[in-house]
Amino acid sequence: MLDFSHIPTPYGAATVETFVGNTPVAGDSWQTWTKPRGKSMAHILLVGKGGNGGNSVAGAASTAAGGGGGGSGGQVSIMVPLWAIPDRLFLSLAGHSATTTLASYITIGLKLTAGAGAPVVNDTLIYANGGGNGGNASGATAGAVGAAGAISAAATMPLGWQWLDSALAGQAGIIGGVAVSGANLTLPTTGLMVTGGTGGGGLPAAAASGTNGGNFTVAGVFPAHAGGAAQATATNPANTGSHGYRPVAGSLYGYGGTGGGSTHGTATGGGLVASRGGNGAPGCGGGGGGGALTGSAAGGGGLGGPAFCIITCW
Amino acid sequence: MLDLSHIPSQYPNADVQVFVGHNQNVSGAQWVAWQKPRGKTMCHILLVGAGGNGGNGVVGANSFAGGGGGGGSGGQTSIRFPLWAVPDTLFVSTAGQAGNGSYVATSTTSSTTNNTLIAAQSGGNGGNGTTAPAGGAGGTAGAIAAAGNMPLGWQWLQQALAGHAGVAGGSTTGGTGQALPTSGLLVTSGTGGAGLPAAATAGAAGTNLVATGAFSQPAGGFGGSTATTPPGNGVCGIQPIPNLLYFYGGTGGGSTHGSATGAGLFGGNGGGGAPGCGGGGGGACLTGGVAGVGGKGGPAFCIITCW
Repeated sequence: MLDFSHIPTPYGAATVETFVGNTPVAGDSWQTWTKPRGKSMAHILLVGKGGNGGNSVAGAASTAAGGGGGGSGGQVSIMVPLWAIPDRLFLSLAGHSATTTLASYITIGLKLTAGAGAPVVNDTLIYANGGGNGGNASGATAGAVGAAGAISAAATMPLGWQWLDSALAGQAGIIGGVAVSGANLTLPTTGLMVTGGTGGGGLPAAAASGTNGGNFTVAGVFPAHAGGAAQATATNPANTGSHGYRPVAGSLYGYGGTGGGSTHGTATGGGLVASRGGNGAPGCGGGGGGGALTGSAAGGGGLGGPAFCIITCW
Repeated sequence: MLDLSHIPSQYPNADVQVFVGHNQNVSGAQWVAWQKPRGKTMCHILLVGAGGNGGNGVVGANSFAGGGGGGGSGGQTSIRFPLWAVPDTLFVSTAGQAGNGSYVATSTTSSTTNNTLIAAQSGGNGGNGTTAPAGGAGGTAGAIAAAGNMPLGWQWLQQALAGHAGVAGGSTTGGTGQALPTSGLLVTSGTGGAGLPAAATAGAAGTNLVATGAFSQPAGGFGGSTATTPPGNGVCGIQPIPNLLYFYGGTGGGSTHGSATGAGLFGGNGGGGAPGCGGGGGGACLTGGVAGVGGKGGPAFCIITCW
């Protein structure tokens, strides 16, 4: 592997390497990290994959609910002296996948073969669970919330527990709406830097304007993050949810996707298009699809953001 | 004290000092000074208590001689703090054998708990085998550190873990394998020695550590395969993966053949533990011979990293 340690980086004395999830199955794809030259300490932040948003359903007025928002991944970090770990580590980070709560790992084991499967527990330096997928709507029953990524424990990362900095559960997603807008999501206050996704709007009564996907409730420097807007015109399609992004420049903080808006209660023609939920930023949940009137295809949930890992050495 | 801060170290930006326990019989009897290095701002201290010794095997009649139990590993404690928060000189007392605690303190008076920045307890010794027959009990895990043991450092605590309990010796067989800990410990216990089988039967192997994946699996000492072949000693603890801070305890010794005679009348000794790890138990021996002796537990160690 090429040694780039002589090339100046944007981070002064530190090397910062970012890995983004790409495996659809645990242990199916591996990336390699090599200990950089001239450094002494490492901080590893690992955030699990966000859950996908749930799909909405198409049905009669007032009986087509929105899909649930996906949960965010769990978040875990360690700070370790470089003398205490091998020169190479191997990463299996969850990417876009239909599998709910797909976990991510960094291991010392040489599992570089495609399809090698999840690593041996005793080889695991750090581990983060993925968030749960939001539930699909069924008639007038809203899609359930995607579960929060479970908190990591010593038994899932025995090699790294000694060096633990912080281990946090993810944030659950938000349930879809039933004939009303999806509920709002409040930013987490647990130390998480990722969020769940919000639910899709439920199909309203006949002749009523569509309903919104769930918004984010924000304050301070965090900007608003709207759900798919309601549609007041029967012949216009509902608006999709917003995709997640990094809302504050320079801050390691990501938003989940928001839910899609529902169709108009008497949608027709070009208005018979269900809206999708927004995709989550890395580690964040996707938004749920918006409910739709019969004649539409149901709105798909947004994709959960892939897991990511940032390794900082100084 | 000599200031070596201008000399490049193996760890470019860090100052890493390792202290390993030496042969002291009383907790806090010997101290080594640590001097705050020049030009550093943060510090991490990892302290692991001494491992317990393995128990001895016993001599007895067929099927009536148990192997010694494996020693427990030391407890593991770490703190992380800014260097401005501690005095320029600290004192390190790392135990060389089980039964003694290990400390880093602001003075050499260990009886004054309030001086203690970080503490780690040693693992217990494994029990000796008996002619009941019964294998010796596994050594107890090093107790977890608490605020009451290290009041000066509790504010800066990163992790405090109990040690890994040892495995009992076999009564007439080799006993059960010991899984690697999954609590965050970076040290393991020792495993038990084998018990003596029935007459005319090959000796049993000492207990092994059970490992998969990147970790190698150290075997217990083999049993005496013939009457005149002595059993094997347990394997001494090692650092199984290069550069990874992780140590194995010793494994148990094998037992003699059930009809051992002549050169075959020596029970296998337990393997010594790597630093912080338990020793393996000794293997049992048929009447007329010498039972295996338990392996020594590894000494306590302390690694102080400043950056």
